Amino acid sequence: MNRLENKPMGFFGNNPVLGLALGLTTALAVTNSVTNALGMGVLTFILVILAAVLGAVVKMVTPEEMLIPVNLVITAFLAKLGELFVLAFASSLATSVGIFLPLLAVNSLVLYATGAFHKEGSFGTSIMKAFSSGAAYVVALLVVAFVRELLGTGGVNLLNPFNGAALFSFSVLSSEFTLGLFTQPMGALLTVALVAGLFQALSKAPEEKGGK
Amino acid sequence: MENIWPILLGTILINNLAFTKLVSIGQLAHFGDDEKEVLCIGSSAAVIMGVSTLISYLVAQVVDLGALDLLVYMLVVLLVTEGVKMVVKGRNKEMFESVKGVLPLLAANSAIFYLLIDTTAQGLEFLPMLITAVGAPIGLLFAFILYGAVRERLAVSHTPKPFKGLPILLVYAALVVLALSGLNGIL
Repeated sequence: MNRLENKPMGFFGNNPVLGLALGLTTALAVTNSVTNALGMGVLTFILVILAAVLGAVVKMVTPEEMLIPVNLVITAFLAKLGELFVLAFASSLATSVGIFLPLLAVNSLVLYATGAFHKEGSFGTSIMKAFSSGAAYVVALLVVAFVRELLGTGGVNLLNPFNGAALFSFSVLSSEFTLGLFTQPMGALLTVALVAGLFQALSKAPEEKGGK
Repeated sequence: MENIWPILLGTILINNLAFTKLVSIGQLAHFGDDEKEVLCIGSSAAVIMGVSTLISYLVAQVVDLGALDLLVYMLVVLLVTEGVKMVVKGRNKEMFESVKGVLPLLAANSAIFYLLIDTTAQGLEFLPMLITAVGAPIGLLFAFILYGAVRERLAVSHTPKPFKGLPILLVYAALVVLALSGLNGIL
């Protein structure tokens, strides 16, 4: 996992999901609407911060070779916490994302934030890293979801994840011109690829990652 | 008995987890440098997937896990991963040296976890579950091999600069999904 060591996370270059493929499963699956992307993005952000705090504490007493298993247990614990919270307070979000809610237990962004891949580093730096990567993740999710929902359904319809009330919506394409493809898995891959290309083009110093 | 083939074919090819549910793309896109490594990692992942699905299904049948389900599944996957790691280490030392960085991370493979959660959530009977636990890992191995081959090819191709690395692989994955969706009518 050399690609993850000592690389600063940014919004454009090295975006956690679009450049490094962290948490890509969630990003592909829940971005069919902006509402889902916002809900899951914010939930992931909170879990990432909690994971950084817990991971930094646990790292003090864990031997190095057991770091990944122990951190995975922390991630699973946090995912269950988040799942129960969402089921209790935002059940409409829970129904629309379905199995991808418990699947946060193997979200590699949360695992990354626990510090499994950077062995040294102080408490402060790991929290800062978690904060920036979590924020970049939310932004990436929102951009991808915006493009997908706009092309797939013709407009954007943002709901309050807690009670399902409409917050904001607009529609630009009439239903004859929408591309249903973009709500499908294939559209997800295509949109993430295009947005990732766009972000890499926008970054000032494109990272040489080669074909790896 | 007549259900076996549709389930098997479905989990290997048509409802292949990696291509229809888009799980574990992050790992498919990065693990393994050459053919042998990809094969080793892919078959390890397949074994972990099959065995841990069986174990966690049996555990969930015996005990009511309640809110501890994710933790128990995670422990099962971790234990099986450790076991597979031991086997790889015992059988091929050189191979183990080159893949030991990524083998523990297979426990965080979302395809494996997806299957665990899905089989218990669906409440499948034993036989369909058994066939799924055989078919889905073969599908995952298939995906690993496919992505590995494409990564080798992409490494020597001229890709537009912004698309280097992950984006071009995702474009390729989108085309694979499109192609496999053509098989939907078989079942």
